[in-house]
Amino acid sequence: MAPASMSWPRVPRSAREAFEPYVPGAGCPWELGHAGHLLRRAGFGGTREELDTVLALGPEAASRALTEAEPDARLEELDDALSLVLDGGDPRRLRAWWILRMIRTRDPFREKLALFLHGHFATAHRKVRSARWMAEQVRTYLDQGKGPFGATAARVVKGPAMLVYLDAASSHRRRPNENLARELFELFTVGRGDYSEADVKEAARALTGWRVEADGVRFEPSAFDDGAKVVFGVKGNFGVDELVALCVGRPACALLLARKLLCAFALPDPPPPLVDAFARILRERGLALGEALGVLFASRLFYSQACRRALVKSPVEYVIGTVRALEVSLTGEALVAALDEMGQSLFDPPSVKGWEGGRAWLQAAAWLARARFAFEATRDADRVRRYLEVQAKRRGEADGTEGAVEALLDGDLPDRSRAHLRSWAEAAGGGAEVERAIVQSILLTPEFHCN
Amino acid sequence: MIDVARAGLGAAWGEGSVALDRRSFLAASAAASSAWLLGATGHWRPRPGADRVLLVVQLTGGNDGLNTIVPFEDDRYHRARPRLRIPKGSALSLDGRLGLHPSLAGLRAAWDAGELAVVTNVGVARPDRSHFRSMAIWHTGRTNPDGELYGWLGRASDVLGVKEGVASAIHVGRGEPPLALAARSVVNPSIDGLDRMRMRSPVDPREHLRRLREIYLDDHAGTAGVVASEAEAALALASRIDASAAKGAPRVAYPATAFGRQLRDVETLLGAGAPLRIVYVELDGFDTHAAQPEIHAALLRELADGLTAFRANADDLGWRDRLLLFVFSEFGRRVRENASGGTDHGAAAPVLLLGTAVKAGVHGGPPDLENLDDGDVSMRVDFRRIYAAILESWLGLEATPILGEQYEPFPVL
Amino acid sequence: MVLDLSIRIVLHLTFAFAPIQRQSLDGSREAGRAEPRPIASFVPEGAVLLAEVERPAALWKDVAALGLSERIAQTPTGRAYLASPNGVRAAAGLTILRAAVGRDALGLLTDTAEGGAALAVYAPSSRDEPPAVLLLLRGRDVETLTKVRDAAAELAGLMSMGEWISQDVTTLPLPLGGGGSTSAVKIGDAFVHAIVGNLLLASNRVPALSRALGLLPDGADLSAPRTAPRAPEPPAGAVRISVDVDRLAVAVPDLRQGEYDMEPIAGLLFGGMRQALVDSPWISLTAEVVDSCLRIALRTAAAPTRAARTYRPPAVKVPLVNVPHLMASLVLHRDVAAFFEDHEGVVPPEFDVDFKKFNSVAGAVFGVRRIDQDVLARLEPTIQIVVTRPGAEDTRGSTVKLPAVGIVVRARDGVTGLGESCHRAFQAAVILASADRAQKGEAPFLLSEAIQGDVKITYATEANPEGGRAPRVASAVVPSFFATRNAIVLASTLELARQLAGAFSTTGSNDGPPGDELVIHVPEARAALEDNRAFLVADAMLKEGKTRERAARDLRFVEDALSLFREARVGFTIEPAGARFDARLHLEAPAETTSQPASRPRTAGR
Repeated sequence: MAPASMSWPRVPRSAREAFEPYVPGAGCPWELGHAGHLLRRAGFGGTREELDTVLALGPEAASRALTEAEPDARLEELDDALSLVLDGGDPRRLRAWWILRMIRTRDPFREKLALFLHGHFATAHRKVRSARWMAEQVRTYLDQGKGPFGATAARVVKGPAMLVYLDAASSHRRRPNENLARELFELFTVGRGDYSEADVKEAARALTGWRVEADGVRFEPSAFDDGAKVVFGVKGNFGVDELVALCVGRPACALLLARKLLCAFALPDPPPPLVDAFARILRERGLALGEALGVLFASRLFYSQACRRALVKSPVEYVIGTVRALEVSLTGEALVAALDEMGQSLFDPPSVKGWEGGRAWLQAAAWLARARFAFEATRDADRVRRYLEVQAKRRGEADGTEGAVEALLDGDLPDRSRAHLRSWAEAAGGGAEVERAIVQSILLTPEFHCN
Repeated sequence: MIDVARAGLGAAWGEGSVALDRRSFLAASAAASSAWLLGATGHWRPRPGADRVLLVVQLTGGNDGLNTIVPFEDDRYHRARPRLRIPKGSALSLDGRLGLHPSLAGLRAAWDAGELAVVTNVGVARPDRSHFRSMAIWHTGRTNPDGELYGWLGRASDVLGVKEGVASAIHVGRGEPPLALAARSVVNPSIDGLDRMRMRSPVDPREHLRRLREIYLDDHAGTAGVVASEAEAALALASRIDASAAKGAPRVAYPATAFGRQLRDVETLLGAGAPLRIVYVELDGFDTHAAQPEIHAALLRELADGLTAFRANADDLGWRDRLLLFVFSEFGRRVRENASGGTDHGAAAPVLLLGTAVKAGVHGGPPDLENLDDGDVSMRVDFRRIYAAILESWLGLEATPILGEQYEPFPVL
Repeated sequence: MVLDLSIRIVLHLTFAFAPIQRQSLDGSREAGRAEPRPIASFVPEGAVLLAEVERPAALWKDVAALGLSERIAQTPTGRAYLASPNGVRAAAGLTILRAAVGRDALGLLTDTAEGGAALAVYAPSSRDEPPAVLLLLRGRDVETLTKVRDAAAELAGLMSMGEWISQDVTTLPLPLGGGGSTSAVKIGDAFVHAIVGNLLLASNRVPALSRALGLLPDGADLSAPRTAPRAPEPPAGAVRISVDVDRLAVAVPDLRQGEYDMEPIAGLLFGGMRQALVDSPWISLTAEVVDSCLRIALRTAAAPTRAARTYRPPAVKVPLVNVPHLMASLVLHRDVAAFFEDHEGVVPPEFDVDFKKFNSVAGAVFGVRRIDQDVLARLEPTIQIVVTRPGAEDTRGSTVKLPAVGIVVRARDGVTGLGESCHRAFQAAVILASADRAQKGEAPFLLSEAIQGDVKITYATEANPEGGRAPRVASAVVPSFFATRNAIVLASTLELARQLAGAFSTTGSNDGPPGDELVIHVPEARAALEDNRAFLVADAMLKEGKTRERAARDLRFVEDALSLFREARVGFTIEPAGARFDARLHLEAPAETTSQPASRPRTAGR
């Protein structure tokens, strides 16, 4: 059987058509693989039931259902638990909180977008040293990340975590610190080339006056530079809100966001025409990220050849996807440790640039960490056996290998590899160790690490 | 309407992209700007000139430079240190004025072979006596390290990553990687023991690795092809590390300490062909405020014996000309000893470089104990001149973008 | 349960001292006495662990008299279990089983094991295999054993343990030692058993069973009736356990050689205890129940050299301090100076640098050249560590109520000025730590003084700085120090320091124990769990990935288990013959009788 991806259409020739709705029909299939693709990109992959729901809804309704879902009330239990352990200050609990949310949620897009924003406004606990403030920042992404980017940016920049992380908490009108201003331009909004060094200096003045204390953020007027500033050629007595609004209003901001969103949710290295077109979609929606991604997830581009398994799964996507697919239960601590080894410690990105992503996830030590995680995830021989039995039964086969390849990879595995796994299973005749090794191997196929 | 094909991208993902095979994916990626798509995939095959490894040894706590490279001919030294001084007869003379601490006898062979360079009076222009801040200065290569998120070696690894497409820097030891390795584009990992470089399997790991390898060598489309070659390289490395570790006891024994074990792990990694350019290890305990003689002697012996064993064993692997060892500490110690039989935080101190590529000898002469800087040896060589030499002459990188300013490479390589 | 029952049960765990050997097979050991062969004599040699009970029914009676099961049933966890499907099923199953064989629980046990029970564990030949476990029961006769076995098998089916019972059942003919053979029944991969005469043998591995069968005579009666009383009369229920550490060390190579992962301080305090256990060729265990108190004694065979180096009971007993809300108190006798001197022999070389660092920093802090000679050698070898439940004042506004910890050491007789020098060292350490924190942008400490009676306490609080950090648990820690008379005290909260200072001014402190001793006051420990319940439940949810309900239930289980006990006391001493651990677990008096006079008889029908 040829891989299902063969039948996916090419990218439309024009960028505008690329974002038109994908309408299933002749030459535009709508199959299990498409549902899996959507659930992996907008969330962390789906169970068989979720796949069936998406299949039934069709691309447009499924995209809306995912991007417009209400918060999952069942997660309040975890949120309450977090609020009780924050005094302990242990960042591993903070990480476990978010990982468990991502595993349990019925509203995965909210978490996925928050993860994107966490990488975008990368802030690290090792410098901030407060689990409470780090949690508050991610709470912002979860609560309002889908909404207009400008509001999210303003709230994040004024949050205690960011003020401490980029040294703005000690910035005084007499000696303004430029760190936050520089990154606000370069990384968070407009990007290199859209601002001058003078803009940075002026913006740093607008960001003075904020103090971070035990009970929260306080604005101290005497430390604030109350004079007029000129940023992007506009003159005014700007404070944080005005400055962020200025940045977010620049066309370059929509372009930067469009490029980063496409890289994270669609395809690596999107060509400029696509970026331009998606930037327009963002601007038309007031930079509301949820709505714009809703358009993307229903688009012809999204269900084209170029997007199919084109992204390397991040460790979080790999771990959450595996746990959800196999329905294994691992302790919060084990999940946290696994992600640390793979190089994605939540709340501790390597730098203000966030995680590099792509091939950088695949260095040898990190790949071996993925292999060890696959070992842990398949450690419970009984669960593996039951999983394979269910897969075998679904296809009416004696052996569950084919079924597992279908369930975990949408059947997307080259013939030779598939035959190799099958013959291993047949030769071994169903020992518990070989069953575990085969499922571990499926979790280590290249396709499983591509979103 | 913008025509994508006309924008020159048709070849990559419009026309002819029905089945992106690995080659065309990589070809398409060559035009990409992000670092991860550049460079070679699969096994790291060092290019000539790009196969050298830098091993940085950090002596944590502030090593007493005066009792490491001893100015035994200087009476002021003996007067300032009535209890701690190394007598003239004990120091192992290098050039008639300076000599090695007797516990460094292990380095004598390297000196005789012309493979040891000592640069004296290396330090920071405005020294800071705090461990934390001084270390941050050395790590970042910035005299004001506030808010600096990256280290000098991390920045070097960023450049190496783009240039050579390899994961090039690691810290071997417990805990977090040092700030020196903090990079913008990758997480340079800390590896404590080689378990993190092993595959785990419910069946015979060798058989499992062989079967996975067959899967990785199958024809995977697009990004999966890139993943396959990286995965294959990782598993191949794991097998080589296992084989390298299984070889049994090293020819020259390492000290039975954490430092010795870490050096052994470095040797195993190098022997397995791990794609490394920069390796960082630490030896802690040099903050000798009290009871210095015993402690310092033991630490220096551990250092010398460890490095000597490492170099000898690495030599057997054919690494003789591919290794440079750089030994530094965040500061030296005060010239005058304290009342507890120790020394307090000081300033400039010697650094050591070992390898066949060094210009052997003592560079910079004995410290000037007549004209002290607030009781400390004063700096005559900015530490970044050493960095510049290492970056340019050893790693083949342009030093200025990494160090932020231009420094004349110190002529030691 | 009432207290005048004066229960005195001896679970006499006497020992077949190592190495565990199969006794000779040729019948009774002494002529003229038809004594049954000890059950252990049927166990093939080479066991790593051997446990045997000569008369399980007597043991059962004695334990039942403690009334523990009734009390467990009264705890919320116990009630919940009995009401749960599993609990109901288990109770029903037991009833069915009793009905099927027509015996009550005690009768059942008598039928199946009146001639004794033994359990042996053998080391696996490779790491991938599980250890082999062999169970032997000597019952009334072959008919009774078969009847009970069949009833149990039927019951297993009834209780929907279907998965287990539906596994492949195979019959294997296995040879007996006396010639002939028997049919062993194998169920699934991991259970095989056989009935020979009045002996039931079961194992998880066929070879282990086969080896045991190979020792048996051919179907003969395997327990000749006792014709003469044994002298002396053995304890009511006798259990023998011994562990062959030499064999265990072969199976677990890391046991002795592996460098142990301990920090130097932990190595000092506890490394010797571990060493005492693993260096001994064998370990034996004794336990008895006296007046609601379970006593367990563990002994090793040889003097543990490493532990002995630093273990130093004081020449005179040092009086111990007592403070309110004491959760735990630990008294250790360690010659710290000798340990320091000798650390290369006690802790692995990995920690050499840690020692050097400690020496260097401590030397600087104390302003001395040799910390071992100038400070440590001047201390009494007795160290007392107390852990108390914190007062509300100390943990206000935090969801975590950290217990307070205090450490008390004393200067040796005739030593002067050590208190002052420790006081200066405390201040120096706080200042150093402050400087370090300031460098990292954290709040420094402020030093203050408080007076308690005639004692001056110095304590360090986190300064409340501009641009400070969010409150953390660590802020609840207030390092406090005082020295009075010859005592030198460090506490983690000011409140505890005040209490300790008060305790020194009052007389009537207890004498310390002769050796090391850990005492846990269970009700206070339970109360501390209760104080931190919300935090602990939340922490388990995130750490273990449990649901709230599950995490709460698991914590409740621990609390309920603790509610059965009043006090736990574990002593450690080193004698020429070996090291001894003595544990005493005091049962809590049942709640409903605590207010009644102890002599009041139990009313009928309760």
